[in-house]
Amino acid sequence: MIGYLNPLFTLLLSPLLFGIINRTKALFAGRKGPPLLQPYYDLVKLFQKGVVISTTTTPLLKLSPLVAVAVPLIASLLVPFGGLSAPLSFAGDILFIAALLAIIRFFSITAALDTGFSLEGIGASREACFSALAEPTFLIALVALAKRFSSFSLSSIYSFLCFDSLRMAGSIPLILCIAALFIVFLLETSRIPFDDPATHLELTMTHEVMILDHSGVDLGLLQLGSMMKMWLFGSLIVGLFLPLRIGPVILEYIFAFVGMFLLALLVGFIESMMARLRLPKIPELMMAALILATLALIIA
Amino acid sequence: MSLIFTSLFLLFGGAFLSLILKRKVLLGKSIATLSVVAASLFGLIAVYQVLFLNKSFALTLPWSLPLGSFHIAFDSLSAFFALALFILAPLSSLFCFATIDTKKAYWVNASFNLLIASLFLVFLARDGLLFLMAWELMVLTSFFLVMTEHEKPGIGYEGWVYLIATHISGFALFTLFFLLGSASNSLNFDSFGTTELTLAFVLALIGFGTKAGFIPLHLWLGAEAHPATPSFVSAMMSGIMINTGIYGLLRTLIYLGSPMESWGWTLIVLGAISGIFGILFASTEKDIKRQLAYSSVENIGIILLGIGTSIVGYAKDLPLVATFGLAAALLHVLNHAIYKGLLFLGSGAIYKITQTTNMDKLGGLLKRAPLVGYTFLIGSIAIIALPPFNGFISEFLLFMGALHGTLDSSLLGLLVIGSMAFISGYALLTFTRSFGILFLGEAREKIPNEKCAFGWKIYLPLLLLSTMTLGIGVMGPYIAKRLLNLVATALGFHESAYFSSIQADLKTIILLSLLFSALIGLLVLLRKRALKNRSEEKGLSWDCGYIAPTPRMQYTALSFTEPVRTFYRALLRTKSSWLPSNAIFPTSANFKTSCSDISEEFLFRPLFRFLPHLLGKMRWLQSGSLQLYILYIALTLFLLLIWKM
Repeated sequence: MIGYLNPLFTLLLSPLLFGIINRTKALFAGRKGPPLLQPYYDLVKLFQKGVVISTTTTPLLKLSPLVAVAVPLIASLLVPFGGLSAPLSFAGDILFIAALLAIIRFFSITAALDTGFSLEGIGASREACFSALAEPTFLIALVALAKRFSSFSLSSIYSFLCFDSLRMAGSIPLILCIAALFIVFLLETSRIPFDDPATHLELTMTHEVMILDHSGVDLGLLQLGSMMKMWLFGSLIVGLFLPLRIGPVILEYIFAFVGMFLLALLVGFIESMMARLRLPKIPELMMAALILATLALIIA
Repeated sequence: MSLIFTSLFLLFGGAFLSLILKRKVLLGKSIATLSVVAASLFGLIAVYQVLFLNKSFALTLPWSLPLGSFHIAFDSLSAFFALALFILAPLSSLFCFATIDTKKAYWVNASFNLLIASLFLVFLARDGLLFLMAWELMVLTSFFLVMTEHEKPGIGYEGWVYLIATHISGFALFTLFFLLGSASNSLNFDSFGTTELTLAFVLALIGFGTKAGFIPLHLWLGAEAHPATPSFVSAMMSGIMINTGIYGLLRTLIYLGSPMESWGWTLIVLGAISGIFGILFASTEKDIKRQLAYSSVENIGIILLGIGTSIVGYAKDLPLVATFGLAAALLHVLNHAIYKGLLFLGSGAIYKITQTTNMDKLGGLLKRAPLVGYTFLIGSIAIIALPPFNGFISEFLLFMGALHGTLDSSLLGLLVIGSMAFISGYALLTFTRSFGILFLGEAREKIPNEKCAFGWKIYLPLLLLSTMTLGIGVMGPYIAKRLLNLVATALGFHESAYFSSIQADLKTIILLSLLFSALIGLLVLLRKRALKNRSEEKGLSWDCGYIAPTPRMQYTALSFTEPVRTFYRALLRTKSSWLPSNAIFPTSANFKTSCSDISEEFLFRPLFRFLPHLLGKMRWLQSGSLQLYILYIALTLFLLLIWKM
């Protein structure tokens, strides 16, 4: 029953991840950095503004931010958080979650092409071409885990994983899955090495350029949506190797929050150490992730 | 049985009357369309009786030909394929009424009626000769329909390629029926059986595969997808005619008894290759109809994946895998007919306004034709398999079948789920591209401003088909359970309690999708309230400060998928020619890319160049002298006489 609080956590706590990442990057760069709660301040500021809608666009432009917020809320009912099962789970929900991510992608690409100028087209083209390889990697990695534990729903797969599972026998598929899913995480949340969220130049971005024509409330909803997507994917990654499974539920929750915090630190660390890959190299990295997931399935 | 005969009679009668009423165009067109709609209604009632009331029909009539007999039957497999036929046929016929040129209407209508009749006969026939006759009628009528606008360039070549390729496959079918019937010396399907199982399977693959169109046998593509082919013809060809290939393959498998596991793996590999190559080729096409045709190849790949999974499951005695695989394949056949028909009819409506199907010349059509645009959007969402539309239900069934199969063999899961996911990813790319470039943004070139208004004959098919995609999706739990039960009984397994749990899973998915729609509604209201006292201004799209942005600066169909073309350049072999401008200030430059079909270029063109060269060596027989030809006839008669004695 307490699992039904997951959507609430996703909605309220996900901006904190962005705050931690930005703070980490600033500290690595020798700056003091923005306050941890800055994303909340930005969202509140955006929600208080009006919008400017381009004359070329159709109602589909206004639909994309709404989809970006609605889908992660639905998905948070299905994704296990830390050591806790999701409130809803059924056999084959892996495919449904992948389809939900595809819905977000579909509407964001459509909204980008709606504006009728090449700048958003750049982002739409890159997003479509690079994410096309994310879906098979995601599905194959999770199917490898499904085969390993002989269960077909995400929550029941994750119920077999705990912080000790890496030391158990036969943990190589798990390690490969963690690697593959982490690369997919970085792609789906538009982080380095796939996309640079810090710049706002059209030529260097994928996700940021697709939302150029959204403003005010719409932009706020889109930012919130991408934060929630990062929270969901993060809970998938964290659940792979961090659940405690010894204590009461409250301890599991605390452990999960600590795990998300460490994940945000890790992302900030990677962003400070690397630069974005050259664009032709990105499909090669995605292929490498796909091969890792395939190996995991073959070995499992 | 009388329903079936009424239906056939209406179709043939409509064809005949429309030929007679050549001068009275409006009357002829109305009679033809009415006959198709009435025949489809009767056909649908017959389908309902077979599928839901568990009836079955069979009839044998003698005829005056020396071989074969008029043996027809209507069982659940035929009924399922006929369902797709009778859904799409009347809607295409309405579209035909609205879009066909008046001078040619009489024989287009006649050919269309005969095409539907021959398709129905193909699903009904239970005798080898009757089947081949119906097959031939189907090929000829579709050839006539494809060549409707034979004055336009390019269509002649494509039409002839289509005719020749289908007759090559007909040869394989003839040999197959000969092989299957030789054991019992009769061409009746009920007595089919052979010991040469693998040979029969390969012949069936070649024969029915050319019709179904998996790579490398997808030669009908050029004819169907040519801009000059009327769109309702492309819809029928892509929606129903390729299903006849799948139908034939399934029928042959019934008569070959217990299938071998290697056949299943062959089908899985063929399905994976067709799906992957199909969608990659689709993403590199700039003509919307060619893209849709390659996407049909990809969907046939998915159907083959389902059939292959089912065979592997059957051979390994895994009842759940076998049931789910076949149910997924069959449901995908129906789903594909509906959304592909919708997309092709939509592109036909676009052709009516703009006289072109080249995506690089179009854009911004959503404002010009909103209903066409939104139904095209629904068709695109359905073909990408997003819930709660129908494409998702069949992919879900295939996914569950493959998951169960993965517990037994990782390779099955890898090939099936891997290719399915790969295909979905690139299908998303392809169909967001086509919808975005056709309907969104601004028009890239000035479209001929035809003030043509669309009537109900164009809107009704589009609306009905898009409602059906949503309807089948939402009714997915019930349809899936019923289909799983049907398939399990047909394969000889008992109905499992697991099907109910799958139905419950699908219900959860549909409920979550409804919750999603409710959330969107809530967010719309919240957004309206938030913007009530604030400004909502209009402006131009962000153009980075360009002084004179033009619509030509938008992304084109080919540039959208350029990363894909570059990454897979070994498979796609794009040729590009580039004439840069080499003055200091840019003058004129020229850039052209073309992506040719690799199987046409590396397999068939060399073959078709080699064959005439080989056969040319026999040309000395044709001396031109009449006396020599009479000598040939006399020699042949003499040899026949000796052989008979």
